[in-house]
Amino acid sequence: MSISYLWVLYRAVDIDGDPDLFFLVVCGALVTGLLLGRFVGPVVAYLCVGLLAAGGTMLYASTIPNGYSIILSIDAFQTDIVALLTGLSIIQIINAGVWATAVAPVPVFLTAYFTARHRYGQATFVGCLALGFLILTGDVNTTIGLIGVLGATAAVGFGDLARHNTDLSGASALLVVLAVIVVLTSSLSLVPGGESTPILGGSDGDRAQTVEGSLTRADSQLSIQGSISLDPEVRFSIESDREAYWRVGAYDRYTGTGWVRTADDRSYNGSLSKPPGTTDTVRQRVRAESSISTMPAAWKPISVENRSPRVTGFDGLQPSEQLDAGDSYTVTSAVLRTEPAVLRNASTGYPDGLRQRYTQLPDSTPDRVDAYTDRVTANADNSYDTARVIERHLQKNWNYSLDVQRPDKHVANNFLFEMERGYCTYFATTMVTMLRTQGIPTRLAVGYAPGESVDGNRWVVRGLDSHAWVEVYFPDHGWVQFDPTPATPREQAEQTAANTTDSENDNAGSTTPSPTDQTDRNETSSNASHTPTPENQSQSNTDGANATNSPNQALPPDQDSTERDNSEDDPWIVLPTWEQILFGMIVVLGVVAAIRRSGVTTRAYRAVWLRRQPRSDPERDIERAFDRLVYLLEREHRPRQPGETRLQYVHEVGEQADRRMAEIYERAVYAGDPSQALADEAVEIVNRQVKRCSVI
Amino acid sequence: MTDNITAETMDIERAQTVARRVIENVEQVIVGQHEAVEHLVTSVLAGGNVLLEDIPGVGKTMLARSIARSVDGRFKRIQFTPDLLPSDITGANVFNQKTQEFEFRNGPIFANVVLGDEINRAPPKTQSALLEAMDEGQVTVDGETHPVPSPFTVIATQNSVEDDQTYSLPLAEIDRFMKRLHLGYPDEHEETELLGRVTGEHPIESLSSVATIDDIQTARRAVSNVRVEDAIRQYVTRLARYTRDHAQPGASPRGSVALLHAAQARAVLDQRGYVIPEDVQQEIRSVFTHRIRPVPSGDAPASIVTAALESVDV
Repeated sequence: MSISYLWVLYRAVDIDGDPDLFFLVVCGALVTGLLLGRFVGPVVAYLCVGLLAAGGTMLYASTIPNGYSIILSIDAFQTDIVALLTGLSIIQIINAGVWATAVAPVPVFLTAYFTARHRYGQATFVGCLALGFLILTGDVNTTIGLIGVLGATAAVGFGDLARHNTDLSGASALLVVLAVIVVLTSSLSLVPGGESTPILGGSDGDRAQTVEGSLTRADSQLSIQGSISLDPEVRFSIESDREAYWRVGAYDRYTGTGWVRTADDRSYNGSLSKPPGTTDTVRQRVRAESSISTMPAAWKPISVENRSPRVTGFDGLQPSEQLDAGDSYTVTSAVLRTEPAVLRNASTGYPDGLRQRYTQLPDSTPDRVDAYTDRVTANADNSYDTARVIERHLQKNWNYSLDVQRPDKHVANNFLFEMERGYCTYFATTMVTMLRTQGIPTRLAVGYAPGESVDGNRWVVRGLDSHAWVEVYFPDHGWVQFDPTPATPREQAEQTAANTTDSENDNAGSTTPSPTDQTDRNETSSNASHTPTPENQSQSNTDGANATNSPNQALPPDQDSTERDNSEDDPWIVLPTWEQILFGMIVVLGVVAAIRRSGVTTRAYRAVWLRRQPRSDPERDIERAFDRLVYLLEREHRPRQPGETRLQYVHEVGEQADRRMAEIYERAVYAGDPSQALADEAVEIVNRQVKRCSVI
Repeated sequence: MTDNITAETMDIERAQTVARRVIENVEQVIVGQHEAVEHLVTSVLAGGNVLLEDIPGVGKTMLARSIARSVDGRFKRIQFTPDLLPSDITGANVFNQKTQEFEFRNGPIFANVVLGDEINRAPPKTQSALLEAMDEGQVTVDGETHPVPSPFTVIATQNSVEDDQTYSLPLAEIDRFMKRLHLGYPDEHEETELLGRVTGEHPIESLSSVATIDDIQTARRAVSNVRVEDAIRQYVTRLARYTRDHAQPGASPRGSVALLHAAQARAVLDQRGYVIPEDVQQEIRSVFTHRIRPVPSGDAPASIVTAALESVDV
């Protein structure tokens, strides 16, 4: 129970904070609670809780700017609480690690205190409050929640049993209940459609807070997917002076399995700041070709005409209401001139806050990522070269595939050392991680690849052009884009596209070479929408020169299904995670307990035992035959009375053949005169009787 | 059946015939005590001594006498009184004037069947004179050991009503009786029958012996040859252990031995060359009950034995 909410808090700490300190604090609270529970009355304990809570709050407040004033102003405080309770993830809190460390001791202390006093109900209540809070913030996934519920049930149940000294049968009933909980809950989450559509299958286990979850805010993930599958043709078209990555948003906090944006949205106030470096002004006229909830624009947008969008954190644009087909807007972007020579000489004097925010990595990230990156970038002596080296390295040494097994955690680590292929999200995430190990501020950007160039200055962008890449910060210049996703498959795809007859396909930078009807199928997979390049690659690889419609059609559904497997079913079916092992054990225990209680095994064994008699020596045969007979008679007539010998019993209730059997038994066992003939006769008699009873 | 056990079978048949004959003979005198008579006969066959305990006048002495008369052996009766001395039972060394030597004069205990009437009227010192004879088949007087005749059976009676002026038997002595039997009142029909028999000449006067000493000896050998399988031995052991777990003391190992012998005799009575659990069950009440002293406020001995039968798996 405690483990579940501590786990959530721990993850927050791990992503942004000092886990050792967290352990120390939690263990301290635990021990103190247990000790105080032994020796101290409730009043003192509540005082301690108050002190802990106040101390924690002050500690946390001291680490954030204007902290004390926020705490003192009740309004702001209330707003924050409400925001948290309505689904703001704790990972998005500023200094989430410190917050978690400050908050954790209170429930831990109380739980330990009540446990020490054998008040399991109250201990569980405290745990439930803590877990409930985290459920409301959306940080608890099904698994953790389930563990919490199981823990609560087990704590109350076993606590009660312990108090009343109930025997094992009560415990087995409880086990059955726990198993039922596990089975019901897990079958709920397996029901198709029971859970939100999986996104970016690869990188996120925790959908609410990862690329795509946050992409929802900027991008309205669901509507994108809807329109992709319905109208795969085109998402929007852009008239622009130059080709660019149409950016939608960016993410700063890496959780190991996904991405979180910790900055708040704000409203557009007429203009956005310009990057400090040398820029070219690029005007883009964007026309939505289907319903979209994002406003893609080349980095970095500085002004928007005839719309008043929301500005997501890190200057992504989002329409205040969904754009319908035909709606259009005009964005002016200041596109940074990326001249390697200049960027190589950029200073590394990053502002403190910026460095902290964009070099954050989960504390549990394995060291080998760091070591590996050091080796790869040994020859690079500035940030720009480092980024380029990593970009090339990833492009050269990893392949594309949509068919990936999602790692449990530390996507970058797994991608680097365990996997051979992946798609854009994997590449980009890995590159960000590697750069951050080198202390270079980096973030993940999402949006769309340029798409198909139509008239030289018009680009048509489809759902499957959606893409993820990397932005690296250079002081005095701004954020510079890098794309570690290999380009070759894209060129191959261009080739393929050129061969196809689709009139819309132009050869300039097209990333959507596939025939339309194939696209139809592909787009149903959510992953395809963010992974255009692998899509193309697999297609070009498999289809080669004769990329005609029909073979293409055969391929995508297959892909589709594997994708689904990856993103949805994996955590439950393929990978034996520790949760699965835990739940599996609970289920097995429950089933065993249930079987024991129902006595099914005994009955099944009896049924077989009654009907089948293996032969050994005559005496044992006769004994066993007699056992069977008595069992049979007991089932048919009355049970044997206490003290009644079996011989008496058989003579009493049995018929002629049974009495004969009793005689044989008597002679064999007590007169020590077993013979093969007698054994045969005995077995035969009993077999006949068993058969007769079975027929009736 | 194979040949080598045919002889045994014949022995058992003969032993059963002897036993049945004795039972029938006794029942000419004793009305409606079939079970007690069977128990008595089986313990004679098993070489055990019997304690008959009941209210006066239900035929304890008559039963003992009938058994004695049915067997063509020497029968002696000792009436126990408070002033009875041990030498009155065992006999004493008497100075012979003619030979100028002490010579041993046999007491009443030198017989095949000894009836100790109202044994609890004599003080423990006198009662104990019976002990050696009952257990070891010999008596020792003035350092000289004299064997008692064989077969040797003591049938003692004890009045369970009058408690004053009696010396209750010590456990050590009680334990040497193979069985303790209760007779109880005859039912209405049986009593009427009884009254019919005693008019005129008492039937015991005309009772003739139906078995010789030899017959009894042979029967005893047959009984001791009755086959006892492991299962039965275990059963007896478990029963005894159960009583020990539920009483202080429970049945002694001597009690277990007695039970096994009695069960063997019972098997012979049913003309069987082997013991089955039913034999044990039939004998256990008379064999175990008097050996058990219940714990204070515990169950009565009889119910402990019943519980043992119900609890111990057959």
